[in-house]
Amino acid sequence: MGSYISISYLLLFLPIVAIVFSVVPKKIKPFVLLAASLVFIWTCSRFWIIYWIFTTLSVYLAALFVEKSKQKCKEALPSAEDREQKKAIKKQFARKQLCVVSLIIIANIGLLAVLRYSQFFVANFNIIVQKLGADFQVALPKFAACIGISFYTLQAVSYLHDVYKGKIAADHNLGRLALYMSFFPIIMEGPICRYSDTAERLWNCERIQFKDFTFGMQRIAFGILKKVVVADRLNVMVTSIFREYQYCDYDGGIIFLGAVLYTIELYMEFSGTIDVVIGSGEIFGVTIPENFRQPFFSKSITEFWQRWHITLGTWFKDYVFYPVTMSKPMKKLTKNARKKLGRNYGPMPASIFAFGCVWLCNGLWHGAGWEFIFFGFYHFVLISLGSLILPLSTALFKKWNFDRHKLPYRIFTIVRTAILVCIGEMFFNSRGLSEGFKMFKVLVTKFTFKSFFNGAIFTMGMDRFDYIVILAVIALVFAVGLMKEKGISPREWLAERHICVRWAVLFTMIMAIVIFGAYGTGYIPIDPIYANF
Amino acid sequence: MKEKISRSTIKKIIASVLFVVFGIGLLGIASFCFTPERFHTDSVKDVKPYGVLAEPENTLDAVIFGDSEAFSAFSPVQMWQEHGFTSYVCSSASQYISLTESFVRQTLEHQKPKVIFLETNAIYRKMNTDNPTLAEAEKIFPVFQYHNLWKNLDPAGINENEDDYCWQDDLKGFKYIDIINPSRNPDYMKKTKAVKKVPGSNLTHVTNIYNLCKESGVELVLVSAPSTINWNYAKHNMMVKLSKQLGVKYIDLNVEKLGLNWNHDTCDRGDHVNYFGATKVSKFFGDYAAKTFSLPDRRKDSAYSDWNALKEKYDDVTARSKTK
Repeated sequence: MGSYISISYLLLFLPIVAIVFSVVPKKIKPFVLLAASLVFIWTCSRFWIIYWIFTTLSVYLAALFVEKSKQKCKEALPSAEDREQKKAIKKQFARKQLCVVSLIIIANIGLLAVLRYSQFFVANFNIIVQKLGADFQVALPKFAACIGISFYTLQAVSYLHDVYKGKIAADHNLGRLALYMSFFPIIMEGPICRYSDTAERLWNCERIQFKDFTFGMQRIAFGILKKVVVADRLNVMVTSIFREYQYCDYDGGIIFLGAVLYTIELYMEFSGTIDVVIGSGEIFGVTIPENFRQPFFSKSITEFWQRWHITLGTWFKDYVFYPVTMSKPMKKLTKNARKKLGRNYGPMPASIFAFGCVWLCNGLWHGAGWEFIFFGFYHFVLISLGSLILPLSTALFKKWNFDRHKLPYRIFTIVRTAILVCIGEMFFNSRGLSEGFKMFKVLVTKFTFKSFFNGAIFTMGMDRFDYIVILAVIALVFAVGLMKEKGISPREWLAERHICVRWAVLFTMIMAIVIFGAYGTGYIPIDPIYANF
Repeated sequence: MKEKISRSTIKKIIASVLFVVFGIGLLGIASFCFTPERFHTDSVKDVKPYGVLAEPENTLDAVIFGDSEAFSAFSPVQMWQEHGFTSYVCSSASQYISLTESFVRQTLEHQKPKVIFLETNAIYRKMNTDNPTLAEAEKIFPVFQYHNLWKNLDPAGINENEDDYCWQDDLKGFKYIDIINPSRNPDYMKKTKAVKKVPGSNLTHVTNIYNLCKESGVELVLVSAPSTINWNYAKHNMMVKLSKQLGVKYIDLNVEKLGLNWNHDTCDRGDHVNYFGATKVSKFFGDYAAKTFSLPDRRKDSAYSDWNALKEKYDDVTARSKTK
């Protein structure tokens, strides 16, 4: 199973698990999900499931140690003679807990770093060595990793951190923790779940409800529509533009179109897969957190990242941004900065530094390459600039009596944000950072709409029929997004309609996938873009 | 209450069954509409391999099957102009060997070529469980196979004679690409004794293709198109071994002297040859095929006058290369 949007998952694995799940007694149900999840990981990773076992066992034991240590600390406190001694006892236990927690987190993040980034670091080391004139090169290491290692490692870190901070209790049930760490719909592409939101619900799953089943299936169908009809269809042209731009003398207009189409492809692929993931969870009565909230309705880059890959953003906020901002050196920096820069700008240096850490991690999380680090840096600069300019622009708008809530201005900010996002994705999808800059140079220096009018855009793997199909699905996704923005649940809305309307909508969607899906002869389905993270 | 619950359950079961039945019915209707004979148009990229079904019955002397390596390397029109035998390249990008088997089966229902060439790159394409499942589904509901023809759907053609395939590909399956993107590893065929194994059940499909050819009295030949990225000596060794096992001929164009210039004759750093490379490959391969299998020269045969008329169209398409 290389993808959730595959026959083997949708027509074999998922139905078998659902059937077994529905016939066994309630007590056995979580074990069915756990067994299915382990089979899923085994099918994708074989022997390398060992990495998952290591992570799960290590955080399980470390959390138990932390809990036991806290208990021992509580027991030892009454024997203390004064406050100083109490403080010393607390400090002694806290140090031990911190040591164990740090060790386990470093071991797991270190494992992730070795498996995913060692090639990148060695390749860069070799370049530096070569530049220095030395006559040796280190062979590039090759490691196989377990499926979803970047996702479950972050889940493991958040679980252990929350136990250490006392936000949640350590789980004594290894099965429950293992299910949280392995639940098959989320293991490959996320979302990154939190233990407190997911574990208990997964372990206490009820029998499949008809409504959950139909709603889950609808969500899955919508996800397939986005991925198979739009993302896979766009892939032909996007690949053509990004691979061949320098040999075909494309103008800036084509490069811009490529950046826009790649952004649409990425969104349709990733959000489509997440629809399948959430739909799969719904079938078993499990609510999986949303990872997208109409990101292209965002009016700023900050808002965009609150709507795009939401669970990754909140993870970085909780486990990188806050710990860095609240660290002693940063607190000191803020204190000093407040004296010199005032209350408004005082906290900014610490925040910007913490943001820098977040965006470095974000860039690296997306891939081992300078283009990904640049991708993180690009968004860091845009968000930081936005924060710096905001007080100034607010004052100016107030002075000019300009209403920022008016529709034309809102549309302008939405379009501006979308363009900035597309440019970032162009670097993200380029074949290396230097290629990204070359494309950007063509985009800026040779920009023209000529290719849009002379028919050139219809000769790069997509003809007018392809554009029509893609625009139709984008219009549907936009309409669904608009309903959600207005607080209407499209599926609840549909459920209230007459059965003929419901079936007409569903069969139109299914037949659109069958007929307009970009599969079979002449098409290469894109690999799940986030699956190897 | 109990009665109410059971009634609602029965209602749900009936609705679910009806939904499935209705869905199957729709797939059946779509399958009826989506068969190649319903379409007539200038062929487009996605439907090129189906063009082989549009060729008049028993008119092809040779058919080449495979993936993108095949459609970028072999030009049937050039081989016709130089040797006078008819051929077609029935290939598509990233074609799985299970699909190749399906194409061979369908082609042999309409054609009786003297020789079938199987380009070997597709033999190495790793299949997942989806490919055979989709192939089975395609047999029941052809819409899964032919759905990409929707762009060419002609409502007027629905009642036409089912055997009247009405569109043909002017390049006979060949894809014209004039991009020049030099290879970075022109010395890719380094001799080794290593043998690169064929993945999974792919050999079963090759054996099925061999059996299909044998049953139809058609000679099967394995052929490897030049590619500095996809081919190497370990794969060559495996194909030598496989050809001996099957008792078929094998020609590896990666080790033959074709005069390819990998700085000029490839469109994607050696992955595929471009038009310039294809011209050299087709010249060599045309000579080999015509001589080895004594393929007939039909250029003066009035029944094949359509093929002579292709020259003008071929020259139109390839005219752009003269400026490069």
